[in-house]
Amino acid sequence: MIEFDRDIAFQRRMLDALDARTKASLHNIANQNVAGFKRYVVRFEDVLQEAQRDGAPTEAIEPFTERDQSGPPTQNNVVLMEELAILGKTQLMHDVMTRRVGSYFSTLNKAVFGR
Amino acid sequence: MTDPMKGVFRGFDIAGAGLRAEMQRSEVVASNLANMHDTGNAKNEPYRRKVVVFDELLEQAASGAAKGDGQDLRAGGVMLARVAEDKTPFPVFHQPGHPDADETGKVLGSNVDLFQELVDMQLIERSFGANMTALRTYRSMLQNTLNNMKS
Repeated sequence: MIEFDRDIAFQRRMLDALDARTKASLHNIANQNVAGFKRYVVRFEDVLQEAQRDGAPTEAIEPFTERDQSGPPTQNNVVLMEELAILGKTQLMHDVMTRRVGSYFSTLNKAVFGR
Repeated sequence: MTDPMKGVFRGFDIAGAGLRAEMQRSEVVASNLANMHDTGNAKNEPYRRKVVVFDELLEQAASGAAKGDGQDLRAGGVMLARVAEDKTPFPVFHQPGHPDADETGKVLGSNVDLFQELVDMQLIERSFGANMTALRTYRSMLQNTLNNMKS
């Protein structure tokens, strides 16, 4: 039996993280002129890395969102260029991950249908 | 499990909200510029400069949203909270022949500052462009997903 869920478990979580990160960036850019707004950050890779270094199980780690509380409390902490940079990085990573998922399924296609 | 298509198109809604908010701000600036020569006196106030106040727009958390799978992100974009009035005092001119002049010949001018408005306009243009760029990036990401995942 082919276990799709197990085979692409990491890709799924990574794509979730990248998708959430893109939306967070869109939200931060939309709110760049809102007084007192604190930017959204999506964390996944660093948490995963930490768990891996400590030898903890990594299967249950899911991406999550939090507020970046840096700066004075009433001051907006969105930096436009930073958000655009995050957006660019995320776009590249998203491209890589979708290619990986795509190639996984095309490999399956070859195995099952021989083409 | 929430509706996946709604999740996909939410990115457009967020950027769209940003574009709409900046557009409304530019309309207020246009109104300020159009009315900047409206004079008045103590009884009949001249045009008071309008300023917009934005507020963050948060989506209602999806029912059963767990930590993870990006569902805890409640990003909904931005919205125009209200249009407030600038409390800066009006400049006073001495023009006895003016129709709006009072007994002492004083006329009140509008508190719109032309250069401030021009700077605001420039800022709005940049913000609008940033939202537009983000929207285009999101669109090309979706396009890439379709292209990369077809087999």
